[in-house]
Amino acid sequence: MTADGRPLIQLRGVAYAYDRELVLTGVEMDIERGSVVGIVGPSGSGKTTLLKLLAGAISPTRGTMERASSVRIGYVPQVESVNWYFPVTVDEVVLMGSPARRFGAGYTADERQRAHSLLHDLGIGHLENRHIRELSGGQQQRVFLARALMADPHVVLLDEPMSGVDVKTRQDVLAALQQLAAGGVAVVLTTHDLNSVAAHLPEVVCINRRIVARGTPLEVLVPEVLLTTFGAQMELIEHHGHPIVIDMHPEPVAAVAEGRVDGSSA
Amino acid sequence: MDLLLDPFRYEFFVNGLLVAALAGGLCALVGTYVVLRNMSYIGHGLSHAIFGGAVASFLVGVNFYLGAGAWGVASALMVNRVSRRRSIGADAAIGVITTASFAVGIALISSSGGFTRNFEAALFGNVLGVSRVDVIVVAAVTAVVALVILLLYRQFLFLTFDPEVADVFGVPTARLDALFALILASTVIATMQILGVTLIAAALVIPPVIARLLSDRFRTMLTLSVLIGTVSGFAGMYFSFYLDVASGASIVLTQALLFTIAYAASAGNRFSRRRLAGVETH
Repeated sequence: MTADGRPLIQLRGVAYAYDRELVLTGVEMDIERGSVVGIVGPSGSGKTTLLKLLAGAISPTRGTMERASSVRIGYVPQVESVNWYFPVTVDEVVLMGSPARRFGAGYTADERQRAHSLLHDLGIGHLENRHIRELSGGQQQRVFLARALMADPHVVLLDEPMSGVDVKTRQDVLAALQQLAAGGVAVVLTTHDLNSVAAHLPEVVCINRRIVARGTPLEVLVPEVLLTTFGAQMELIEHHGHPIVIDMHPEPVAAVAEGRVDGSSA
Repeated sequence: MDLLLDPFRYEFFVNGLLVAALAGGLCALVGTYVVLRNMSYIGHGLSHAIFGGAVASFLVGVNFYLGAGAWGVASALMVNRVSRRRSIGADAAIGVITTASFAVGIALISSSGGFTRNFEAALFGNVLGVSRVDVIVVAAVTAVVALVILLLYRQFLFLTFDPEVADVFGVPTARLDALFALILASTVIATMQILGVTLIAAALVIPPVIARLLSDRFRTMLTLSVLIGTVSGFAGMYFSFYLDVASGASIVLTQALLFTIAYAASAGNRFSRRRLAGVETH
């Protein structure tokens, strides 16, 4: 919430359509200061569209989106959407995150210092003159996080930040995000990784063209909600107070492939 | 030395040299963004579209820069608008609008009774026939475009690298797209008489592609591209004078030669060759 008690971003009855195809409908959502929210749902469920609505990159087809005045947004795109052959170095990417209204080809000493500090804090300060393609997946993810943080945002939105990274990198990224939230920044991310959400995030939103459920992982990650969201059977066990999601394909794939069981019953 | 200085005795050569170097640099500057946005086809298409306007303005008796300018800006904005419709796509939008516009030019020529030297210059370029007004126009467009790109360097870089996300960071992408369409149209119009409709696309594409082979840093690529465009414009004019070939062709062949050298020099370097993998040149 802001000083006047209002959420940073508020969606009310929001729907969005690409050309005439409705991809999201009836979305009610508040983004509060310091909150950490994971958005999960199957491919094509509207996760990225919801993130773009929150970012203000697209406007609702129906409904309203209100942002508290002068809220700054940082956005980390899916790594798959980045043109890794573009001729830019790490520091050039991070400096793009500086306020866009400045004119001229140069950057101020303050801007360069901030970019350097962010990269250093994220453990990649020594890579600032490298081309972005020369970095590992985790390092690339952190470059775009640093760019999102350049303008000192109130809200950071991340599209699939845990996609294609190893366990250690995933833990590092989540730790960095939790640190941001502790400082009052709202963090919203999309992911397919249900178990990371369950283990690390306090709040989950399940969507499939509409919000199916919203709450803590223990409240939301239950078989009925997951069946409605993903259309797939999943089982849950609890470990140290966190739910663990298990894919419930009736038979192991290898057994179906080898003809030991009838796959058609699945 | 006399051999090098000899052509300077002719005023038309001095004008031509100046305008070719400016046109080469201007096309290379704008072309860097064109290539990195995978829009190479639009340079090709827009020059053809503007040919329709050039013919129409000649036949109606309107000043070339005014007639072709209005036509070019309208074509560029139309391509920009149509390509935003997801089901069509930029390449198809360019194909439809620009070839239709080119066809208008051809139809007007055939109905007006034939091909004149003016149309030939617009199609194939004629540096040696440039007037003082042409030199002033190219110099003015180069200065304005360079100033706009310098002032909006950050915004254009973000838009070129990551157009989907630039919006979120406050970059006015729709307005910059429209502005870039105007810059591109102005560049094509200003250089059409010099390089010709058929060769402008090469002058837009080849210098940035060479620069891309040589650098992984945007600022360096942009600088190198302008340098290569300017030098090849200058050198191409010399070759044109001594080899007695069309100046537009001479400039583009000089650039193609530089590309071959740069490509061969980087052939052993897998990293350099991979740089081109992300560049579609059509």
